Amino acid sequence: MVLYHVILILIFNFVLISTFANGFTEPIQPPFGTMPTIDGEIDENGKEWDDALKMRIFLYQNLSAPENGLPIDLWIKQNDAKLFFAIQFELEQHSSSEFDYEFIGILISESESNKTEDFTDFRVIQFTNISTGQYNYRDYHINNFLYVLDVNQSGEGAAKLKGDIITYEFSINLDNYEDYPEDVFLDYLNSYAFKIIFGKINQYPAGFLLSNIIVIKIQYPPLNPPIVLTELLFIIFDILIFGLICVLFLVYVYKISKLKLKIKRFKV
Amino acid sequence: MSTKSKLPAKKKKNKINTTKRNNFNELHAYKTIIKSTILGGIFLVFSIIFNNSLISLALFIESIGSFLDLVIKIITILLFFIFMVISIGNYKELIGNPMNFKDLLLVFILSLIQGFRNPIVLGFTFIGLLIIIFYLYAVQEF
Repeated sequence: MVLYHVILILIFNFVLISTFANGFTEPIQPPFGTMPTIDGEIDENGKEWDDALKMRIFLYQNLSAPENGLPIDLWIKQNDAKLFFAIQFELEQHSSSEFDYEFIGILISESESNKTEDFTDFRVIQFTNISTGQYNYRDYHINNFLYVLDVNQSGEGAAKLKGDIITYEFSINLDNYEDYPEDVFLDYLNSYAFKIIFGKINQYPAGFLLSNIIVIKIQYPPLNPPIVLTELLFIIFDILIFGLICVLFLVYVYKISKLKLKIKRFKV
Repeated sequence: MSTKSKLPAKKKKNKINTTKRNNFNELHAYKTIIKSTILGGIFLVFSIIFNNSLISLALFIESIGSFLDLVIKIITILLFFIFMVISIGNYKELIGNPMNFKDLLLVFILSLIQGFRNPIVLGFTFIGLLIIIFYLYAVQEF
């Protein structure tokens, strides 16, 4: 009966976590990988994106009430200078002229906050005629909710439609403030919210149709990791806390073993 | 006379039975202590492994890895708390001092502190621990 109640409590806690944890899961840590060719093609033979983190997410019309999402496959990786995204999905209606001006955009927040006003940078691959495969990659900054084309265009983007499957590839510069002051400064070891947007009209933000938000923690180049004081403190606390718990646990085990010797009745 | 001689013998027999029953109960309680301590120890090891990020499920299962990682971190701490409370409760009862609020608070803190690295783990563990304590007090009349 007690076990039954304990299981019920654990299930209740699990449900509680699954209800709320989706909203604030840990940031994605992109793996380091080779630089892919930004050409709108995922070269499976060349294993171009094999070293990336692959996940399936859904783009929703309304993020506060997510339903009937568009499933997209998302690849993320980085090197010491750039962050790379590949997005692939299938739509049966791709051949229709309705999708001639399809686009995938990435809104970049100045922090991990997903408030609308914190998204100040926008990268978009905008088709001008999907049936002929014509597209443009554009870099905008957002000023008072107005999308203004950057003077210095940063990053790369490419897209290609094959049958009903479309692939978008993005490359976004890191540690970029000096060269591109209009962009969000993506600093190492900081987390940023990225809003992936799908639309079929070349108007921003009026043409935003479906979206979802992911938070990415930019990794430091693996060869030169800085000494992070907080991480060092965490390690010290880890050792102290778990060391203390282990010592107390062992003392308790010792007490239990002594208890058996004390109560000689047990031997009867 | 014969009645008188029978009564002490019956009392003695009852006393022996009671002693045997007490011995059995104590032995049973001791076995429970051992079992729950072992389980508590196992979950402490799991907690050290997962809450120190020695192993992260996010590396193995990309899509649900971080969520599952979060759940396992919380569940291991909660199970550690449950088994240690059972163990210490029985231990205290066996030595004649029932588990008091201070003991419970100590186990509570030692459990909660295991999730200090991650505020989400800390938050949900706190909620889980409160639910368990509420259950122990309200339902089980701890």
